[in-house]
Formats: sequence, structure tokens, C-alpha cells
Amino acid sequence: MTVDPIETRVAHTGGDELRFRGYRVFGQLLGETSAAQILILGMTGTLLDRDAALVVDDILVAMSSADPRLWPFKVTRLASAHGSVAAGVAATLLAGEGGMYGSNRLASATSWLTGLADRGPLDDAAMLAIVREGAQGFGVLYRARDERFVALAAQIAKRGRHELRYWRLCMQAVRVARSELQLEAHVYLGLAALCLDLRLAPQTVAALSFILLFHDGLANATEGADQQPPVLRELPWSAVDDRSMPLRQSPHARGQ
Amino acid sequence: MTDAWTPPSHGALDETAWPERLVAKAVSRGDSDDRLHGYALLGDLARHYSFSDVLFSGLTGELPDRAASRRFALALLASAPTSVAEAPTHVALLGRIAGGAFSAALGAGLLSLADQARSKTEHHAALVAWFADPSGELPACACDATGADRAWIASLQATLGGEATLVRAGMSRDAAKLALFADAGIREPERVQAALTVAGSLGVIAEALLAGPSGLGAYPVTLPPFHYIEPDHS
Repeated sequence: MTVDPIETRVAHTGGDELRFRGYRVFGQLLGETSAAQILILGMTGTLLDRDAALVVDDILVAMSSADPRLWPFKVTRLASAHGSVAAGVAATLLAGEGGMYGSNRLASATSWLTGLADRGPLDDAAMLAIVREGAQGFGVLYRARDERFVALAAQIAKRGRHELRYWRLCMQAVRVARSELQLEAHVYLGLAALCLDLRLAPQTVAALSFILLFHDGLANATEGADQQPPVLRELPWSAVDDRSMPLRQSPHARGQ
Repeated sequence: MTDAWTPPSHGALDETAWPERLVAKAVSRGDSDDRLHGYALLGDLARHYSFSDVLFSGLTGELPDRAASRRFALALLASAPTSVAEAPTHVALLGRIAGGAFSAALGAGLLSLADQARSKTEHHAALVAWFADPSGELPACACDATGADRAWIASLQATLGGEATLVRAGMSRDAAKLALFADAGIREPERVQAALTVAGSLGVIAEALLAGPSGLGAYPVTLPPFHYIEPDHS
């Protein structure tokens, strides 16, 4: 039997040493590497320096938006309601994929920003035309602004990273969209800019959304699996607005 | 019911006038009987229809006629044996071998199965278009390029007898399964994905039920082989 081997650049487990993304885990990373650095290394293959990794810390902290009423984490609570943390986390990561909180939205924002950068310097009129064409990473539901974007922008300025290329481009687009179109940026646009300024490869940025969902989902799954609320396992039928078909007889029951 | 709780600060989640009830559109709960798309489960469907007919109703909102019922049952049966060679069953098997709970292994396998179904419908998008006008040449995505599926297709055609069908000689197994669902009137990708997932769960379940931690030593860890390539960070 011949089965072609699969090449991997992720990891190898040896007897005395582990290898991870091109580094010796015990010999090079252990004791030198933060949680943010190892997460980004695994996700992208890039080992950020300590200062750059602080931006990832900022992102993770700002994205601690884990209210169990929010769509992704309501999923977590429902899926963990029978006592499984794993089911809660897995459902969180999976259920919204391709939707408004999955990796696709971060990927499209990243792609849009890189496309914008490829055009070179833009004046506001040109930026407005491009945003009108179909900007990605905009749109905020149920509130005037994305509070995470606002907080991250302030923090990035404190870190002195607000003059970096993609963040500047992002903020120009945000300013033009806000003033001319009353369109607000979603935090994913800011995350895309920050990741690109960290020189992460655009095709790897979308995976960050899984880290964010995992972080907030795990908090909800842990509490949810512990609580196992009967009302989440099954709502009382009185809480359901039944708009299904009224009772009807099947063709076979009618003798057809 | 009173709710005396006060949020620590106010935001959209607290201040928006959200709907208060969840909307049901397909399944209705009753004291003496439940309904699916209006049909009573115990008082009607259980007496006059097979489980696969009820599944058809779940997918389309309507019950199948006798021809569609027969085709749909055959499509389900043909799609049921998700073998251990396929990723979804392999996932469930690994979960069981690692000592995972059956529910966890099954859940992981079904997750992979649903994604396999999505992948199959996306891969066969041109075939779905061909179903609307099957007089033309089969799209490449539907062809059995190696001839490996020839005998299986012949068996299927023998089972079908002389019935009109979208199944063609030269099709791959996967394409023929989609053709069977199309014969039954199930063509829209999300409905096909649902049908493939329900049907394919049978193979996943059957293998997972027979697996357990005692199989750990017999599991081929290096099948397929993985070769670690050290990235160059210089």
C-alpha cells in the first residue's frame, strides 16, 4: 500500500524535544514566549516580538465581549446546557462560521484593507468612492458605534501604533464613512488593520476570530456546563410563538 | 414574573425592545400529539408513512408521492454507508479510541459529516445545473475519471431497473447519489446537505459503536504519514 505523505510545518513530537512552527519548544520557546506569542505563532507561523505581542493582548482584552445574550455565546450556553464544556465551545466556533461573527467577516475586512493599500495614497474623495463601492468591515448592529473599536483605537494610540500604515488607512476610511455615509466601522476592520500592521500574512488573519471566540466561548461554556439551566435545555412551550402550519390531513390519510 | 436585576451599565442588549418569544415554523408541540409542517406525527404520519417519508417532509415541507418516496428512500440508503476510510467516520472512531464519550465522538463525527456534505454539494454545483437540462454532456465534476465506481453504478442501475433517472453510466458514486436525490426532487444544496448528513450518520454511528479504547494499540497512527518540514526562520 502506498499513501502519499502529507507535509506539515506545524509540529513534530520527538523523544526529548518538541518542534513547533520551526522552533524547539523546550530549547527556544519555553520561558521566553508569552501566551499571545505562542497563539500567533501557531496561527500564522510568525513569532512576534514582545512589544508586538502586547497588541495581541490588547485585542484579546478588548474583545472580551462575552455577554451570554450575544448570538455566539447564546449558542455556547445552549450547547453546554447538558453539561459539556466541549460541546459548548465546539458549537461556538462552528455555528456562526460564514456568518456575521465568523472568520469570513475578518477575512473580508483584511482582504478589503490590503486591496485598499494596493491602490497607493488616496484622497478623501477617492476613499469615499471606494467605500461606496462596497466596503468590508463596516456596519454596527443595535448601537451607534462599536465600543470595542473605539476602545481599541484609544489603546493603539497609547502604544504609538496609530501611525502605522494599515491603521492610518483604516482610520481614514472610518472617518470618511462616518462623515459622508453615516456608516460605522465594525471592530473587525480595526483587528484586520492591527494584524496587517503586525505583518501577519493576510490569509492567516481570519483565524484570529477563532481565538477570540474561543476565549469568550470558554468562559460561557464553563459556567453554562456547570449551571445546566433547565430553561436552556428546553424553553417552556409558552415561550414559543407557534407559526407552523395548522393541522392538516396527509394525502395517504385521505386515501390518496 | 418580575425581574429586579439592574445591569451594571446600560447598552443595546438591555435597552432594545427585543421580541419575547421564539418563533416555531416547522414543528409544533401538542399535549396529545406533535405536528411537523401541520401533519400529526402519531395520529397520521406514523400510521401512513415511513420514516424516510417524514424526513422528506422535514426537508421540503410536503410529503412525497409514491415515486418520490421510493427514490428518496433509495438515495438515503445509497448514501448511508459512510465508511471508516472517510473523514467523518474516522473522526468518530478516533474519538472512541481515545476514550471519548460516545456522544462526544458522535458529535465530532457528525460535525465532519455535515461539512463533508457541504463540500460535496459545492464540488458538484455544475452537476446540479446539469440536472435542469440533462441532455448535454456530463460535467467533469460528475465523471468517474478512474473507472473505480463503474461496478457500483452498474449495481445501482440494476436496482433502478428501467425507471427514468438522472443517474448515468460514467458517473462517480457521489454524483450518482446526488442524482438519486434529484430524482426525488431534492436538488437545493442545503436540502441535499441535510439529506446526506442524516443518511451518512448511519455509517458514522455503526463504526463508532464498535470502537473503543481497546483499539488504541491497533490504530495506524502513521496512516497517512506526516512529514514535518522545518520552516526557515533565517
